[in-house]
Amino acid sequence: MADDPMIYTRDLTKIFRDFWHRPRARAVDGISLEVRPGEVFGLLGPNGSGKSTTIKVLLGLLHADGGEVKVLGRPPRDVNVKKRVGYLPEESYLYPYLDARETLRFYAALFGLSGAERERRIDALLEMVGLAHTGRRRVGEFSKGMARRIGLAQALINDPDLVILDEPTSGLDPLGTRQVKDIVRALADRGKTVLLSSHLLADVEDVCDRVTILYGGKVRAAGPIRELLKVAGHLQIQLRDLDEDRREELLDALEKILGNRPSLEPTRRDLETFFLEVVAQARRESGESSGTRAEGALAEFLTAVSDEGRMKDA
Amino acid sequence: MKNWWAIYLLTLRAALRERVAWSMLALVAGVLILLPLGLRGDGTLSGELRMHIRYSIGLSAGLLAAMTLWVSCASVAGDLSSKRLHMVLTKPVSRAALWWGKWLAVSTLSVGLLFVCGFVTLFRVNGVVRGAAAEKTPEELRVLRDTVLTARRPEAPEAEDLTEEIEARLREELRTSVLPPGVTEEMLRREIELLLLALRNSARQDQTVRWEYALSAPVGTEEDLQLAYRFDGASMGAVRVPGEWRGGTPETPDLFTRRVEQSPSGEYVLHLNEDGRFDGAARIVVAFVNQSEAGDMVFFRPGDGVMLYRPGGSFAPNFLRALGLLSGLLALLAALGVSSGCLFSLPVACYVTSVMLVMRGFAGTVEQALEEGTPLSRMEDPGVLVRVFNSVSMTMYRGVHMVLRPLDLDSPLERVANGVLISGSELAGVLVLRMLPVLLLIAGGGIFLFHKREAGVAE
Repeated sequence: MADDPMIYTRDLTKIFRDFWHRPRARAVDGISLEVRPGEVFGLLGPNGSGKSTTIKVLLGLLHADGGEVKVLGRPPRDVNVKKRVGYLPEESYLYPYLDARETLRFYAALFGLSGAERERRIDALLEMVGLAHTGRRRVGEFSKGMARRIGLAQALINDPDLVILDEPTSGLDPLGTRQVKDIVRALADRGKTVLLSSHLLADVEDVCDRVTILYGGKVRAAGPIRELLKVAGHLQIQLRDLDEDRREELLDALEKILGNRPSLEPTRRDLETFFLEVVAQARRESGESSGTRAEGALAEFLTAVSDEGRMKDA
Repeated sequence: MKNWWAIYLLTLRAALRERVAWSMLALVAGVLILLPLGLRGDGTLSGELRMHIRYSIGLSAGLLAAMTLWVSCASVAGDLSSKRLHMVLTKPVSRAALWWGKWLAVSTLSVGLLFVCGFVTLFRVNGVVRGAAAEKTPEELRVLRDTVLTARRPEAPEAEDLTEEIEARLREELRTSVLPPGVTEEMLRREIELLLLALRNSARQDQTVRWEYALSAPVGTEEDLQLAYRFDGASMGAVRVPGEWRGGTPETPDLFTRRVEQSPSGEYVLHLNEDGRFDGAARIVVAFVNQSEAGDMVFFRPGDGVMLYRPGGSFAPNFLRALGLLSGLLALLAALGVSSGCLFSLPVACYVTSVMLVMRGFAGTVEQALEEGTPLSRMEDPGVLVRVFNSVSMTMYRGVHMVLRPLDLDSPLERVANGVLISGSELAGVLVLRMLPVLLLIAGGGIFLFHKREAGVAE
């Protein structure tokens, strides 16, 4: 039972129809997925490939027209399923007249949380997403990035077993993007299952264990990310830097073994890593900027999932 | 915290923070402040106060009804189109909880504002009465106390069974003349009935018209027994009509006599039991003798033209009960709006509910169509298409009538302005037996269809 898939779809189909019920678009066309407990699963695809539609079916916002769907072993519209799911939509559709704290309080109340426990979670989440100091500001005044952070916080308020993140890094600066990735990994480390949809390949590559690539509503590729990204017939060696003489020696030796002369290139950081280092340095020198502040650690209440926990409310 | 309660608080907060409630409050405050400046009564203190009560609350309730429909539609349809509701629907909230939370919040808001208007009006009435105490004559103040600032339990005259006479006249009409095209037998029967009722409630020179009342309980010791009468509009033209009122029991019909000479406009009150002569009476007979020498004829409104009123309570609780009835109406409108918002986009939901509200204004036309049929149904030899169309439209009329019937409240403001009792049991009966089933029907339908609706479809 513990290894039952958290999300299971077989030949899932969704057709959008017009007013006269005539098929207008086949948004999802026979998708089969299996997301296992504790993994970070990526749903990749260009715009219009069916990612968001699939997620809406998994959340019960849309009905499937064909195939089978189960979330946590039950139909997606089951209220008991929803108790254990956290969802961040592609845009944070928040009530602009609520402040950050009231927003989280509202979503906590929908999960039946109240009193000290609720306030403790709100404090921890606001700290985690770097918005503890803006708790009393109305979210209507927030930048897109800040709204995403509050969206992420509300998705975690119920300490969910399954977290569904639709384009989680959209609108976030590189710091926020890195933070979201760290949170996703930390959640996975604590045994949570994460379904992440994105068209930003770097995001998915950094955090996902397995991915499915969609195009035109169909699965075009699926599997563990390490396997999918392996380039057949090529190997890579990483070395510490060498002086000019030793480089020549190495290249000569390799030429003798391989029969051709390989090239040597310095190792480069990616731009994201470089940017984060620059900002970290700037922070040390001049303190915080307005808006979000340095994020805290993963909220303590986001606990590891036990088998009993998985079965709670089921 | 129950999740419907969270929805309830959120919806209330939305109305307050998005300034809907405040702008509505400002609007009704404007009505309450400005309206009295433009109102002219019939020159009497009672008339002035009646106008205040009818129009201040009537107009405020109209504005609140429009607001209720708008807010209730927007609270669901607006949240759906802005996709805010998507986030909520992915949480463990049933659609029923969402519906009830939204409905309760909108109802609380509109009923709350109605009661604010009510208390302001009560305060104003109190001020007018205090101000008038020094200026007006004791007679005017007495009329005010007797007809407005009171809650009188009405005793309607017994309705005479006119069936035989109606049928006899109908047979005679059908024998001697041919029905004109478009006039049905039923329409003619109704005309004859109205004519007979008018004759029964009118008196020519030297004629006597008589009413009999089977009281709901015998008259108590020195219980105030008011005979209130008003002339029909058809009496207008006569300046003053002299006559004599007589009252008593069937055995002794002349326990009370009073000569009067009154203008046909206005409502008049006589106190029959000032000296306890009617104590213990269970049936009362009232008669009016037309003593006009100029040949004037007077008509009393059939049904409620001559009423007996007994003490039923005081004005303020009666006024609050009238507000209770209007509150039920607003709550039903809120239900209609929330259900429409669950099914349609915001503009369509607003349109549908507005049409319902307009149709309520034409409830009389719908009832008439149900009683007498549509003009198409009276066509000689209608074709198949006309028959089908007529059948569809009659079914539609029946449906509309069924929905609108509970909204027909028997003019609570008119009654409270005329000092007529709205009893607690009547209030409870209307709210529980008439409105609650309709509310549950609207709620059930709305929730069921909301459950079927795909929230994630782009509009």
